[in-house]
Amino acid sequence: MTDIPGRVPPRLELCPRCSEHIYAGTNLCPHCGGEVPALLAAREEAIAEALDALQRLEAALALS
Amino acid sequence: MGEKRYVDDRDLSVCKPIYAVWEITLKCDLSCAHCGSRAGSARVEELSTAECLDIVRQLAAMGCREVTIIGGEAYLRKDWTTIIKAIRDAGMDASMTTGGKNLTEKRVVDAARAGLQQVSVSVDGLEDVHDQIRGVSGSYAAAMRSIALLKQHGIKVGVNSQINALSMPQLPEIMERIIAAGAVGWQLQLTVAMGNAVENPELLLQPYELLTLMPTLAELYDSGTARGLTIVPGNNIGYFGPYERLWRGGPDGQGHWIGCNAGQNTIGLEADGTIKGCPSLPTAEYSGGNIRDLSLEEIWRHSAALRFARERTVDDLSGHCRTCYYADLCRGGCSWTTHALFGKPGNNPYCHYRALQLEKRGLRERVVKVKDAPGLPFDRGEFALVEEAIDAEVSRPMPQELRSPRSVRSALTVLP
Ligand code: SF4
Ligand SMILES: [Zn+2]
Repeated sequence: MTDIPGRVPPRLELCPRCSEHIYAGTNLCPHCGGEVPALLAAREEAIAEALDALQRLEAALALS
Repeated sequence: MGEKRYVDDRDLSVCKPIYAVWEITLKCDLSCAHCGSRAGSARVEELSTAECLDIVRQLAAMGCREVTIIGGEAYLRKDWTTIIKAIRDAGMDASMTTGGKNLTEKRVVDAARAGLQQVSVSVDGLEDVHDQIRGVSGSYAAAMRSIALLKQHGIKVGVNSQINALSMPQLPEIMERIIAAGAVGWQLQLTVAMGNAVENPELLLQPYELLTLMPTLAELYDSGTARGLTIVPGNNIGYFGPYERLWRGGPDGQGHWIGCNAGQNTIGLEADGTIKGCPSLPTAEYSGGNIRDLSLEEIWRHSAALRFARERTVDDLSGHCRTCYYADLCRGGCSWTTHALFGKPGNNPYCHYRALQLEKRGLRERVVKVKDAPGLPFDRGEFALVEEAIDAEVSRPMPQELRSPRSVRSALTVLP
């Protein structure tokens, strides 16, 4: 007996601004109007900055 | 509650009945005002023990992982523990949903010995409301006693509750009581306009009442989780909006509603051998055939009534669902809820996202009964959908005297 193919639904993501569900690859959030790629880039940058600051703080504490 | 019933992408890529909900008898010791199957007496020609054991074999062969036995009241079948044991011997999980009215200690001990792993007890309100809805006085006390008995005998126990006009205001207090009684899971579901509920339309929530309900559920979810109670949304609670991540996000927060699963990884069986894609769907329109005529595999594979959700597209939707942002993924939410109202799935006013969108435009939706149901198990009436100003002055009648096949009775202990 052959398998009956099923439907694997698309997985949604959360808008970085309003946290509503959006389809992957969405440019303009239909809920808040945010520009998703720019918001994601800004979030990545903020995370990188925070990690960098944390590392510098840890290094400074290790020296003292 | 049951873990084996949950599906991942690998399961979804193949249509096979991973989770079966099986009404093993329609005989019931309660008389519920919302009962979709209008349970009470056994069906004509319910399956024999040998036929049930053959179904167990067929389910296992098709890859089923969990079977929930329901009724009526499953324990009113003399061979119910034989069926449970067969399910376990075939390598599947066995669970049960019950009102618990006559779930005696002997029955609990027998079920535990047969291998029953978990039970969901129905609690639809505090004592006054529960007994009114369930149509038998003493049924609330019996349900609470059942929770304690099950826990005492090592069976994992949860609760399921109907949300309707009478139970909604009592939800916070119901949660307190079931936590105190020992429940670890709480499945919530909106009362649907099917069977006896068609005779009690005031019992149904109006779609716009989701605007009040959902924030309440979110609060309960948080406080329940902190106290070891997992709230599980039924398939007609949703969809998307601010709380979706809470209900369906899962451990990584990435999960969400993915549409009706009827006939894809879920199967429903009625006590006379009728097969459906979901146990709750109207029998007349969703019977895929009978196990006495065809094998389970043949019905699953070839019946149009089981294929409907596999093949549904956005073109099959209507109303606001047709143009909804989530249409392609969601496909109109719970098929049962909408078919029961309008005679076809795909236009679901009981959606939080939809209610919020309408609210932004100063609108709301209301359902109005226009036709009675014929009076058969899993039958439906007809409802009209009204769209109106959100502040329209329309009285919201509250249920007074609930109509059920039998009026409220005192202690029902003698069973056939
Ligand atoms: S409006 Fe309809 S299609 Fe859109 S999310 Fe709600 S139920 Fe699903
Ligand atoms: Zn957004």
